[in-house]
Amino acid sequence: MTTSFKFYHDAALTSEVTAANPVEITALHPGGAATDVQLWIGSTETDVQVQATSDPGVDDIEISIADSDGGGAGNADTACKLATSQAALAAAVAGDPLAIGPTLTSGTGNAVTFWLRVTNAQATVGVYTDLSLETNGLTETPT
Amino acid sequence: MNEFELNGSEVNGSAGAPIDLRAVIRVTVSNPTGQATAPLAVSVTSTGTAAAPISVGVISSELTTAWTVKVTLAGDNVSARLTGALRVRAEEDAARTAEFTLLPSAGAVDPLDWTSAAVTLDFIRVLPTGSIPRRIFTGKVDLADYDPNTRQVRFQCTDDLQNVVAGLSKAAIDAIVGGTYSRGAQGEIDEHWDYAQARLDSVAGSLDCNAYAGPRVSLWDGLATWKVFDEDDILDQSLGIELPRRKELVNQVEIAYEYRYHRLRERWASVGFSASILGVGAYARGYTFPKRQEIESALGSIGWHVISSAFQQSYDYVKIGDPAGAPPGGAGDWWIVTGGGVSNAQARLAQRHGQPVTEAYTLTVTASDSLAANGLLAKPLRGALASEWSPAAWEADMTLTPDASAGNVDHAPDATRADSDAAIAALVNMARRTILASHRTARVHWSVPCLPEIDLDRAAEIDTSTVAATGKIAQFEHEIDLGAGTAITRVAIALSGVAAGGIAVSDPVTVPSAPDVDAEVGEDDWAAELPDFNVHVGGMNTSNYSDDLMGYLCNAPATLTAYNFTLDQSFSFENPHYDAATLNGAILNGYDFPVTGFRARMPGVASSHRAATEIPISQSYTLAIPENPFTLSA
Repeated sequence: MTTSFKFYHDAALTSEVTAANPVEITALHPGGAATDVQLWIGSTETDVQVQATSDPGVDDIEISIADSDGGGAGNADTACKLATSQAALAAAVAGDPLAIGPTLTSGTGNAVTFWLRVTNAQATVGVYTDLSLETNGLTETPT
Repeated sequence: MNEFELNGSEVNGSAGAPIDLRAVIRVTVSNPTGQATAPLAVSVTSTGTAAAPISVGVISSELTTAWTVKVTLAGDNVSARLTGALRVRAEEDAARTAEFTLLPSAGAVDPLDWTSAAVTLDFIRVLPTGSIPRRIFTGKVDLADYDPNTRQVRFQCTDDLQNVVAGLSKAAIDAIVGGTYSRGAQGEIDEHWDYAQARLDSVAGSLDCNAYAGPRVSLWDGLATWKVFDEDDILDQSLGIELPRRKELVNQVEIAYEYRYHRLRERWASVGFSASILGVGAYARGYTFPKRQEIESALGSIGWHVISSAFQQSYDYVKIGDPAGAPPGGAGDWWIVTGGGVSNAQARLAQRHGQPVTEAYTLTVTASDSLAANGLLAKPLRGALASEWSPAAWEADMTLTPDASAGNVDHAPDATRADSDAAIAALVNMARRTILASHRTARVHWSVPCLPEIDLDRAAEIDTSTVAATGKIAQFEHEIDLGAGTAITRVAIALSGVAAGGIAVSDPVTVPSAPDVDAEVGEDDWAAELPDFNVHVGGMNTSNYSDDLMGYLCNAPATLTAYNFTLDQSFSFENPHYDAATLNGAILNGYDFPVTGFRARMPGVASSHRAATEIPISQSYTLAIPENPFTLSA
């Protein structure tokens, strides 16, 4: 079974981030500025929660940046910053995961928002899908 | 358990005869009783990770010349059947809309089948090495209009902002919209869209959906500039401005707000009555005492609660020695028969009263810079929060909460002080929003080649030789004409400011301190008016009659009758304290009380502590209008 907690484009958890509906970043090169995107993680199920499988309720749930080609084509994971607010992006460390607490509870009102900043370093025009966001292992249980 | 033995059949025979084999087979059949149980805890869990693919499209110029669009309708990619122009419009606090036209497949057409069908629109930059899709609309078909002449279907779509928000829980709305909701400021609201609007009333921002139909609030001020547009970026002759009209400005909102509740007060007093049998007073009244029922009845009718009481019975007989003229004989003392009664009583009394209090607030929010530049442009705003609770039952029953014995209590269980504070904060924030909104109606608008990344939660700067301005994007429209091969975006930014520029600093939204009601209504020194419950005897100079005499009131009898137990004889004699000259029904010099019996009265509640009172409270707030850069050059 997979977890019902997913990434969404919106606070109402109506538009899931999927391969067909990814986080879209358009980067102008040269001269383009970093792009900030607000995203949400949550579940539309009723009365469930997730915790880090490594030590439920103790370890934090983390959102990390994955680079499927390990710095090959496209951008490295250090092109991305994560923070819980747009203002905090400036101080965030590029490539670092974001801890969002040990427990996430389902329901739109409990969805957790965070910000992604992508600073493109790729000079070659094209579309790059090597980057993604992912959580650590999660265990979902009824609340 | 049953057990039995099964023997094999015996075979008899001589030598060479078959061997006599005897097989003993023991078969044990157990028949257990009882029921097997096994506790089983089922916990449904699932494990996994959540993932979000990121697509980074790198472009060398935003002036994309190669593009296409992708439209999905009810999940089907209908891009190949598009014709004519597509439009996507977005504006602050409004639903995002889209229009496009399809050439339907040959055959029967039922436009109603498409109503409410899901729709997505992507603008796709086409690169030599791939394509970069960018979502510009997510929503539903509002109307599919079939034209039998052209055989085309024109789709009008909406992101369904109102229904999307209406479908959210209030908790989700709280998280998305922020702001505050107050019953006192905005009334009872059940419908979730109205609830979201009520919360938005206290937010200096707009509620609309992003390109994925995700509702969000974008604040009017404080956004970083997303993009600077110069003359090379914008389309010729597309630059325009709209300046605000003075009549649309509001630079002062005066809020009239009332908070109504009850101030509850309790009085506690210990009272005592003593009818000493010693002394002239007892003699004068003929050794009579008030009855317990008489005292209880009097205390029970004074509007106070008798919390506790204690009564000491008097003697039934009182020895008075030998009255003058009594038969001698040393036969013993003469006694007066008292008839019983109460010689001493103590009672703990309590009284409750509630006073309706109305705090009448006048809260004035002023954009002082605008006031100085434009003159007063005021607008009223009203609100009220009133408790429906009545103190009648509480006053009648000392066991009911709240307990006000330790101090006065302001009581409004259905409209608490916190509710009132929230109402005040909401009203002030509503006033601020009203003023701020009226000062950002100026617009600068222009057109550029299609910019699918544009959104209402971004700020943009225009920097040309005639106009320089920076503001939040308030509306935009993508127009993509497949026939003409053009794709443009019209964008308008909202400019906030005051004509003369501002130096004011906004005051924080602090709630005025609750007034000191007691200080407002003054003292009610009831304790000083507590009466003495004494014995008062008509005919004695020590007790001139007055309506304020409290306690036991009686008149001296003309004669007293004593009894001698030894002689078994009664003897009547003149009461030495009876003054015939002043009696006979005349009230003279305070003699001969017209009222007798036990009388009790406690201090009344001053009207200043009982009648409804209104306390005026005023507070002013200064509001700074954000100044967006805006320069026009000839």
